[in-house]
Amino acid sequence: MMKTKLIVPIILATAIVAIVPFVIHPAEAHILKTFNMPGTAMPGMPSNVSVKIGWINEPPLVGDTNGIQLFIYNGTDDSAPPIANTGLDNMKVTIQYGGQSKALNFDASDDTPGEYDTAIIPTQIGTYNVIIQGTIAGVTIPPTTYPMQEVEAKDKYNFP
Amino acid sequence: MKSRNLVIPVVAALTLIIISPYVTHPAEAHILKTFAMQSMPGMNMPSMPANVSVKIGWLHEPPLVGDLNEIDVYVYNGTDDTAPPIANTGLDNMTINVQYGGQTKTLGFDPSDDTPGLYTAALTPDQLGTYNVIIQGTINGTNIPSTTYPMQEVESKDKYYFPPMTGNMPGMNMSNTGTNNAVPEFGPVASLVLVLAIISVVIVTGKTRGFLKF
Repeated sequence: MMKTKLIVPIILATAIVAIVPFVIHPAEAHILKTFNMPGTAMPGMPSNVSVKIGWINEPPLVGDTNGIQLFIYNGTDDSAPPIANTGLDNMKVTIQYGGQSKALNFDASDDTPGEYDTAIIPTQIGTYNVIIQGTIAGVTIPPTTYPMQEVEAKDKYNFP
Repeated sequence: MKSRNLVIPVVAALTLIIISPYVTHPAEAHILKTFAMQSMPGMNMPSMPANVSVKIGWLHEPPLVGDLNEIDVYVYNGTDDTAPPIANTGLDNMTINVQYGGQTKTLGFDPSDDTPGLYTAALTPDQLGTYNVIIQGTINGTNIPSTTYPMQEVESKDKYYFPPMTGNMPGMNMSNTGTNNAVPEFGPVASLVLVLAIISVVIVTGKTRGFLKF
């Protein structure tokens, strides 16, 4: 009787353990978030801005020179017009891993309007977060966390 | 009196030495220079461009010491980088050298498959500091005198490590890099422990043979 009572929880626990790696989706390649200006939109000012963030080289590999790529759009998606050169003038962007944080300085891309880049070499495996805060073209950006695509070991990509 | 006369030049020289790293502006990301065709009397060349522009920079910026990078050369048929590109043959009559300190290397460029007017040459900078690219020759009949492009400064990787690096990075396979002589942590100790373990097993087995018999 006791044994049969245990079977169901054991099967459930085993199923959960087996399914979890597939259900919990790791951080996606590039994440886009949209921020709204509260109240009436001011003429000439955008009512929404979108910020898309990801690694420059994906998958990010530990010890490889990489970078954080940040795109800013004057609208709700990445087909909206870009906000070039000055988009990060009033923004603070930090990267976080474990308990450690580092402020990032971005340069506007020469080639792609609305793109801003900074170099970084991830030294640990796992998930890094990028946190942005400030204002873009008058739109307030509250502290917002972007979980970055997981930094992987190089081992699985070695061939032969 | 003589020593007093020396004070001002010495102070001025020291000030210059201290200030110069801050005053000297580092090389910019990509530099564009325009070259005009010198007109010759009685010569009419309608199909030739009057100006060509050449823009040069690193592919990966900031350039980091020891990382594979590329020198990008863009050639345009006009005065800026919105002008039509000169694809595939733009560097046929050009010599392009990269210079660091007293050393010079001639670069061989390949036209990009994807971007018309772009030519690339792979280069791994192995020293910190400013590299110069020097171009000379002709592009579509326009004479390009010897012209120096100071490249964006090659930096150390240290300031880009995050979290700050302490020892070896887990998951970083360094065995295939060729240039890295990193020794696996505890390598010799692990071998020693293994040898001692085998010897111990042999000794213990030998001593307890009778005991283990059933």
